Amino acid sequence: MEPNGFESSRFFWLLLLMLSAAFPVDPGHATGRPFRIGALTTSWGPTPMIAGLRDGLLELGYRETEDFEIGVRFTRGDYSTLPLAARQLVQHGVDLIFVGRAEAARAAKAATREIPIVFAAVSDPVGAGLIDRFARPGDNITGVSDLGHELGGKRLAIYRELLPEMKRVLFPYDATYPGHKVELEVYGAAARRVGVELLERPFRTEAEAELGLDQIQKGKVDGLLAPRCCLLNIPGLVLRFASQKALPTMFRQAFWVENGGLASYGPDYYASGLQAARLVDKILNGAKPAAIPAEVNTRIEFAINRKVGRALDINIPAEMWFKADRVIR
Amino acid sequence: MVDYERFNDLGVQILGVSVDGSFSQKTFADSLGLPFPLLSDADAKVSRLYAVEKFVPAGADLTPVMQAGMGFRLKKDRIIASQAFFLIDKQGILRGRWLPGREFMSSEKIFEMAEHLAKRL
Repeated sequence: MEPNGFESSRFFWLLLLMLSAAFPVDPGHATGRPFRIGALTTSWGPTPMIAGLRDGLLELGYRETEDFEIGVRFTRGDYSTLPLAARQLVQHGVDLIFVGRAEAARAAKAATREIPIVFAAVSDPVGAGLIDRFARPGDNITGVSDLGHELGGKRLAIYRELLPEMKRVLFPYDATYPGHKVELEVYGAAARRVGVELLERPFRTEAEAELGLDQIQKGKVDGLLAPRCCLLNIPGLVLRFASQKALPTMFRQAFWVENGGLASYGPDYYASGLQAARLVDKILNGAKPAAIPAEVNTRIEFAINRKVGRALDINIPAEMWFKADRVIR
Repeated sequence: MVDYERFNDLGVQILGVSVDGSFSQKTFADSLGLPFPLLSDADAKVSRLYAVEKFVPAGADLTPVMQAGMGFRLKKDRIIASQAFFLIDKQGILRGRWLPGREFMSSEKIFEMAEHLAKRL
């Protein structure tokens, strides 16, 4: 349904709904149009990467709402609406599109060949056909890559180090998404190396994933391994059902550990956003994306939730606490 | 959206108000497919008039407020609007006020009040 305009002749009642601010502003900010950044994400709202972009611009001296503003266009796990979402951002007159994944970057590129696009979590931007090469990306896109799939084997190995007794790990994933199938291959190879059995569980819809994960029985699996966010909301479902069934979990992002997961190992996406802010700064100062070398975020974060570990009554080896970059209490 | 249709059929115009800028509101509305307009109260004037302004200090994590965001911490002190519902009749008289706080509130109570008032006309 399209938004209605306010028609006082038709409606005689007003219902005023006050919403909490997503990006609250200072009263009395200067007039004038700030640089408008449209952040396109498949998540359910602002992400650590977007927060990093914002904070990075603030650190560079830009003032939010006066010099720049960020509008987040999220698709709630639905990749099929990315093209429409990208076109809407273009229609809103954005000055730059910020994206986190290859699919979002492709949708943005299809929507515009003029508006600069900056990505912050594309594992292989050349292989994905987004840029020609890192040194000179070409076209209207540049960004920050991460180590992505290369970390999968290490992630599973760390999971095994956390839980030496672990024998069976369940990997639920979206069967229709090629990226998850790549993850499956990486984890499959790693599982053989570290000596665990990887149980794959493909799903095609969120409802199917919800039903399937609800049926997991403790004793049949020793832990859950979440795929990359956010298709079919599988990481969210993993968090929910693992908490209910008192099962350990391993994620890619610390966000999930902050919200009840046991551990995560993966790129620090907030740092990716901070790094991307420097590229946006160059664009704000007149540089073209085609001439701005793409970069790599090599910052990895290993996080453990101590409280969750206690609740699961698992004996995490002492050295793991020292290895962790962040211990969430 | 089912609730929206019921209010629409009753002749109630729903308006969403927040202290976000209009661009941020547009992307938010697009993301959720909102069928009603969002109005920007960027200077928090309306929020103050309706006594729903809320001071949030720098460092606060808005994630619980947004419900969908991820660790979005404020860098500066802010004035935002607390979630609230107001029912106003065509004469501009406030007929109902609901402050659900952090709990999600069903629109049923508001609809009942609106329906009751509509019948009185």
